[in-house]
Amino acid sequence: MHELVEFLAKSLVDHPEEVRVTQVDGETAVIVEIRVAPDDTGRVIGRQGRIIAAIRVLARAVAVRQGKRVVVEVVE
Amino acid sequence: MAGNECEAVFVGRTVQEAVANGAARLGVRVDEANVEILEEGVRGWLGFRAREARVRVGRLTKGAAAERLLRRLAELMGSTVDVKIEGPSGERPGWLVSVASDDPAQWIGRRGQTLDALRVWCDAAATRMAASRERLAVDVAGYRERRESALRFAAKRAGDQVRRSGREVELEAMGAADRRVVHMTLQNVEGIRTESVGEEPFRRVVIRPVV
Repeated sequence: MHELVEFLAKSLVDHPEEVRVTQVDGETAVIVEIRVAPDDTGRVIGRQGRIIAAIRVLARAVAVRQGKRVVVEVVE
Repeated sequence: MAGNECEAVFVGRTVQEAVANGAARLGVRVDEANVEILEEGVRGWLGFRAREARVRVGRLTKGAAAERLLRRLAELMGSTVDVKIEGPSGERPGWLVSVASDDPAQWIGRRGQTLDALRVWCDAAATRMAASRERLAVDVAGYRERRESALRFAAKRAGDQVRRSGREVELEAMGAADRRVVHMTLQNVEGIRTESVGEEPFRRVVIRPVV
């Protein structure tokens, strides 16, 4: 899961080398945290959260196949 | 493809070096550049008979950028896809990227939710890669096309109803791409006007009579 989210994030930002994605696996849920360069935060979140909402939907599309819930957050 | 203004020929001792030179100069990432190898280059011996590598480096077009993005995404999702890109034309101002997948349901989602997300992400990333604001539509297994014709039909029917009754009609909540289809379908119909009201994700189109 974190590989997918990392790709999605890196494709959007100006500083891909500063993208860090971590994943915590729980029983039923997966938590994925994204860290990006400060000036890239807006690119990952988007106007009114449009982009991060899209990332969440795409992560969910993959997670449901594994019978899991997924939480994706951008951490500052 | 045409419309690629920032494109130039670069040299280096190897193809790799020439591409790196060009990408750095143009401000694009090496793996996101459009590369055409003009001359492979020969290393020579102690500089004798060595020939520099020559490459043409430019940005990807928006469509080509979208294709790369979707192919890589498919790899990560473990599905096989076939991607077709069509450039801007007379009847369509932007790019259309059509995806055929071995698992279309996963790419479309309930009520096209995943497909909408795919378009939002792909457009944002391809806009950066191609440095182009051209419109980009994404379709999977013809879903968008079928959905649009159903929406146009529903919009026209609701429009007729408003004209006959003189009373406004509120359509069900739908995403931005769907609302756009409704607005476009009814924009030249006399006697009515359309407007979006409410907050996402409950934003919907209201068709009003013009008095």
